[in-house]
Amino acid sequence: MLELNKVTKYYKNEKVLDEITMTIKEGEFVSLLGPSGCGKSTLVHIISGLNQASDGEVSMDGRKITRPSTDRIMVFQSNGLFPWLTVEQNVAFGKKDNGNKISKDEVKKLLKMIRLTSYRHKYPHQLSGGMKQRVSIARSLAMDPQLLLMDEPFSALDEQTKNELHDELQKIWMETGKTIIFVTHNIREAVKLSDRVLVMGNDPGRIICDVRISEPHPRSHADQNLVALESSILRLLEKEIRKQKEGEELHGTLDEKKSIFNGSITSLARTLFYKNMA
Amino acid sequence: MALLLLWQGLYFIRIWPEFMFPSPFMVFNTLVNGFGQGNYTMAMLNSFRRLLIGFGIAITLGVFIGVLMGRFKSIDETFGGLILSLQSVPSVVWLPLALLWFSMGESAMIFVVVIGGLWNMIMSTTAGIKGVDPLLIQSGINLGYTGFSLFRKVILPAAVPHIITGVRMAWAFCWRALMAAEIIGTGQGLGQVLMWGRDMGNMSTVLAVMFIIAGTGIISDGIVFKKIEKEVYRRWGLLETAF
Repeated sequence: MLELNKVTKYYKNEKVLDEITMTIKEGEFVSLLGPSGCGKSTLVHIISGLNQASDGEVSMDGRKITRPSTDRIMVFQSNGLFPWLTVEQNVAFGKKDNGNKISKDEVKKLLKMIRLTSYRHKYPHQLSGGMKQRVSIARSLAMDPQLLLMDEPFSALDEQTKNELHDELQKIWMETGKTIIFVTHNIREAVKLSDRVLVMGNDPGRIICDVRISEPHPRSHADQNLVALESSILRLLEKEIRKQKEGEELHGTLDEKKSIFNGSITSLARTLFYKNMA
Repeated sequence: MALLLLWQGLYFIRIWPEFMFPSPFMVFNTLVNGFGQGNYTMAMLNSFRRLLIGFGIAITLGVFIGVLMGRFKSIDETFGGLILSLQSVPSVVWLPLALLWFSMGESAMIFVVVIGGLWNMIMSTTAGIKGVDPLLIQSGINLGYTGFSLFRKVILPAAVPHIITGVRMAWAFCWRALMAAEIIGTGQGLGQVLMWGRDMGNMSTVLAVMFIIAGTGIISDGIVFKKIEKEVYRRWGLLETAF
């Protein structure tokens, strides 16, 4: 079980995350959904231990998280594969906490799972974007982590590849039962994959809504319930974005009012001045 | 080919006397004779021995110091500027000092070769280590690597393309340094044969040796080092951006 208690993060003096509190149960597929700049990626980095919270705490099964661990593996948007290693070597790269290497059988099984057995001797630069991301997922699963953290893993891929990988990820999740935290700005993706969507708002980043989705897996895009859910989340987010814009406009008008006010003072003063002169 | 014809043409006009401006055939004959009698072969072997020893020391030392500078900011800040300024000093300038330190001989020559390639090797390595994609380092840490194993398994391999480019440049610099040193210094290398040709007023020897020097440079760089470099860049997936 992963627990976040009032996690707050500042960059310089700007607050990017504001008292995030949440609990994620084992085996859950949770999406962090929000517009760009809402701090969702920062949040997942803090959970991984690659970044630290300015305030508040993160703990897993009661133990406080302060640094990266092989319990929690990140899958990055630009995959982070080692270009000098083959697909097979990349998958086998990880080193478990007890110092053990990943077994050959394990690697074989994972390559089969991501359907890249015939590509095992290829190098990353010889693979398509979707394949690279599959290798990256396999490399993470090879560590047998408790928690799989995915930071916009599919956002650089084309629509068709993305759909394929959605189906594949659902399958992997159902087979392995891993806890997954999935960062995305794509509502459809979040709704299709997750048990729970945590919708985040901007400025400062915070969770504005916790949506639970009980539709059975595997799901398809055509599911009417999901489409309806998608549009209601979209409305929620639009409201958030509009609010932010209105905030900016409000500031704008205030400034204008102030300058008009200043202007009238000067003209008043000028009038008085001229009156005295006369 | 056109150049050869022009050369032959100039030779026929006889602007300069024959001993100063030999024909392509004469140079070719000198080359054939030189290799035939084994003089040039011996000279090349001598030069190559110095080059390989000096080059080997330069890249080993260069990678070692470069890695330290890439990993430790304080070392980089202390010595970075110094190395940059040393880089701009032609290495043959060190020869008088080297002759004094090592007495006339092999070691002085090798020292100059080392100096020729060293600074550049350090700078390339430092740049390579500093420029490693942070994402790869994060991935490495996340996959259970720390400290020296992280360095050996992730940071160093990730810096290899930069280091290879450094090696290639170091080779060219070492080669130039060696020739300059041999022309001034003593021993039996290509540079000395060239100087001997000058002293004897035998310009076809001078030109023949120049051909050997240029040819060796082109062949070693174009065939050996460029290929290795290209292969590394291809493997590391950098080919589209680098070439």
